[in-house]
Amino acid sequence: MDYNNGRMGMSEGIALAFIVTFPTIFLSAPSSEVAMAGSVAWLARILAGFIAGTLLFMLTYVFTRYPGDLLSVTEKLLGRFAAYSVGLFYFLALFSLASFWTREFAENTILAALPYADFSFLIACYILSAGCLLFVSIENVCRATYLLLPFMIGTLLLVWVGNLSLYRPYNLFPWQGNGLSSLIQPILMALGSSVSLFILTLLAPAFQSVKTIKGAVIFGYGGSVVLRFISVGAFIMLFGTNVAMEKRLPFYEMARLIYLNRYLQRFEAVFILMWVMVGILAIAISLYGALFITAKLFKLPSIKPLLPVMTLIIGQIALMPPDSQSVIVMETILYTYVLAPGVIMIPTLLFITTIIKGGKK
Amino acid sequence: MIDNTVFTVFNSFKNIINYSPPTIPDPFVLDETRPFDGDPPQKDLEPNIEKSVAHFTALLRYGKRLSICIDKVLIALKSNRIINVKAELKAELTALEEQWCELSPLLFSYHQSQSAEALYISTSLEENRRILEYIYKLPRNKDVVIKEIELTGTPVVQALVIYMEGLIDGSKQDHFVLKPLMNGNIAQDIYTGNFIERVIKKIIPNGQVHETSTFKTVEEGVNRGDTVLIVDGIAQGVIIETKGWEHRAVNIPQNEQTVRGSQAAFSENLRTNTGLIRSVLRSSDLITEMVKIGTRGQTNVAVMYIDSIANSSLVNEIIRRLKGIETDFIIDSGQLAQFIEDYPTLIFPQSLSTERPDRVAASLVEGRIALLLEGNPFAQILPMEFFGYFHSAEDFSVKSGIGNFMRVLRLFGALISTILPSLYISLCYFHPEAMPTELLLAIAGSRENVPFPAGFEVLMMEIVFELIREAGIRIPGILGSTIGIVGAIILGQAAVTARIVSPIVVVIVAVTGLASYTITEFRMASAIRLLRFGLLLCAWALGLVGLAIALLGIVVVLCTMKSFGMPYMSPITPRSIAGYDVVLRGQVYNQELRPDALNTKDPRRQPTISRLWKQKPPEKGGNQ
Repeated sequence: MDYNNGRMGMSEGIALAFIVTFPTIFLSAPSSEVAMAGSVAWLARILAGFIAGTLLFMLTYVFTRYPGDLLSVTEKLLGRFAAYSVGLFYFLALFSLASFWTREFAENTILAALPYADFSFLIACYILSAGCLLFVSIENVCRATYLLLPFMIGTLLLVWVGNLSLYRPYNLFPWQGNGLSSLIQPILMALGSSVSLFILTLLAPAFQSVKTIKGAVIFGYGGSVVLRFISVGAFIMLFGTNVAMEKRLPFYEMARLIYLNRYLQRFEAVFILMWVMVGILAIAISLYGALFITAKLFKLPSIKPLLPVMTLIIGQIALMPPDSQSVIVMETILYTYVLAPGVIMIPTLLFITTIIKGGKK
Repeated sequence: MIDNTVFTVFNSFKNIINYSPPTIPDPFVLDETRPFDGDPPQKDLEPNIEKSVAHFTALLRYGKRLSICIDKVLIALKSNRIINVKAELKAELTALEEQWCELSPLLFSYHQSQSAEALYISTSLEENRRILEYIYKLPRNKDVVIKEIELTGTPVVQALVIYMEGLIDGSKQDHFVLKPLMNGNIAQDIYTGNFIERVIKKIIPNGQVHETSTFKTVEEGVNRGDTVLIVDGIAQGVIIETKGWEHRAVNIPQNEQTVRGSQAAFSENLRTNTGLIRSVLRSSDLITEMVKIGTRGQTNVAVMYIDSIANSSLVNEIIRRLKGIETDFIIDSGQLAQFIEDYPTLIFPQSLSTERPDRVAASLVEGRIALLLEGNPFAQILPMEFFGYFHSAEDFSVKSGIGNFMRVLRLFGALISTILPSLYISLCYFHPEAMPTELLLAIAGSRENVPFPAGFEVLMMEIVFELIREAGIRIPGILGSTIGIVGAIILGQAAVTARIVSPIVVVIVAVTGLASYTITEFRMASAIRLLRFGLLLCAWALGLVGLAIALLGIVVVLCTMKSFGMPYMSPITPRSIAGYDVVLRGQVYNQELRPDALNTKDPRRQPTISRLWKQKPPEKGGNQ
């Protein structure tokens, strides 16, 4: 397995952009955002999506001038030290995401599916599954994601439509919620959680062209933003801000409310199939991103020997936080104060440098 | 000794006291050391002696032939008939001269170092016969016949006719080989001009006759049912087509029955099978290449494709892989597919196996390649994508709505067959709240008296179902299906009555088993059956989480796979132009493009507007 082999097309790009930004729907992020921004939390998703999309488009402009991946382009524009710094930043981001997601999905599994399972066993299940998937190459993981996309979207639609009778649109009022200034923190948090989207730029040479990346951002990330925005909106409409901010598993709780008749009710368990798959795929891709950067920084010919070691380390780190609440707190701090500034600054810096330096198209 | 009770008892007692070894011979035990491996020891000790003996024996035989020839010359000289027999004697002496050259120590040693098959036909009939006897291990081998005949005329010329009993058509051989040779008064022409050419062009009234000069081609011809003629004094042979072994006639499909469409199926005869395909697809572009496989079996494999459609690199690759097989013998096309496919260790099939010529023809037109193995009534179509295994031959025989309904039903059947037992176990063990309360109570009530856990119950019933299925196939004749059905009903009923399993499990296993039969391809159905067991164990261990992990693993494996270079999950992923025949099919007049992933030379199957009559106004008038 070479770490930059293969030519990925639009479908793989869409799947990649979608799956690395989508899993927060199944985690506690919507509750945290509602806690921060109140009934206007849905707007944070749209604005963060717009900002992240714009930043990525700025990077695609850079790639049209300077072909290569994010690290090599940074090296060309800002020098080797900057390239190493950027690499370390994204490594930290993707590595943290993989660890947090492993922990959170394992926690959710205990809550929703396997209450008697050993915690460390579930962590091992998730991280080993993700590691095994990566043995068959990133292209095939993306293809599998693309194949599962309709089912993921279908699941969400089913939950939304299933709860149609329970929505209280006035829960979205007042439109300004806790005030528009309260949006800043959830926007930063959403931006920080979108850091994995930049894996598209790390793998840029693996895509057919810059146009493919643009398409992946529009359809993959755009689709993810729309779904996340509707999901948060539906969540608020269902529970209202006061109840919504208390929910540990927003999606699971929404699925739990579905009552079609006395025979079709309480089938939230069936949706476990989908969010477990989404979780494993997202962890696998973040893990791949971290491995890719490591290999690039140390100029290694292949990531395969690193895979078992990195899998083990991420599994061990996921076990470290004492409880799920501390995971959420750490995650919020990391997204808001560490990752979000990097997400904004790095593309902006590269874009400005390209504008100043010019460069051949 | 008197034979009464007292003496019988006495003798028995004496036998016990006075033990003597039994008189029966030792039983046969297969020796682990293999004395036939390698050269015999005496050969290693004195390697040159045997060669010298062979050389001297050959020289002696040559001497004998020379002596006979000299006698003939003497008789001719004494009787003043030398003018009449001059040509004959000259030819005979020329042949002897050639044989003398072959007996030179250097050439003889070289021939001895070669295998018999690599030798050239000699001018000496006697030597030819000896080589053939060596190749076919005569007289031990009773299938090969070496018949000595005399070509009529003056002088009488000896010839050998070699054929394989059981592979030839006797009447064909009588009429087209033996009669013209033995009644044709042809021997006088033997020593003037090219006799073999005259035999081929004038004497043998058969379409497929060709000359040969090596024993390798002689052997191939005889093995495939041809008759070989070798004439004394000529270092060439004639291979005459006389194939005619018994084979099953063209019959109706046994495994791919359809209500509509063609009702012909392949048989064991390769040429009949290629002919059946040609009878459906009458294209001069349809190429049939033959590749021989098996160092001992020498089985023909027909590679069929449409030259103007099929991707040349794909054709070359398949032929390269076929030629790269080194094995004794291949008996089945499924075995052949495993030799050449990309992922032989994975359980999913990578080529479609069919017994229907119409399905092969339809696939060839799409740009695929068909492999037909001699003696096998199944063709392998390749490459084949995952969704192709859920298509049926009659999908296009019915309207698109009905065809699509059947396709969806098949896919639904495959899904049920894969996950229903594991879903039941997951819900039973980990998420009973997902089931309606009434159903849950009914299941709990029926399981009350069953002493086994639900997982074991399902696993046991699945294994029993597989046993019944396997037994139903193996039991001969119509008894098989009858015993299968009766066995399933009785066993299911008895197991419920005996409270070994609950009725819901019987229902689930029966529905799962039934659903697996909706899959049209046997090997895909088998793969799904096997997956079911794996999923069952995952669900038993981790419920829906285990099921999700296993299903994700399967999806990734499917996305990784390639069927002869073509992605297995195409055209969905990697995305390519799908056309209107993937999961569902469009109208027949909308089937404009061939599968994009095949990269065919001509991607268009029909124009955008294929119903040209819609563009033209109806003709007025006409016959009333």
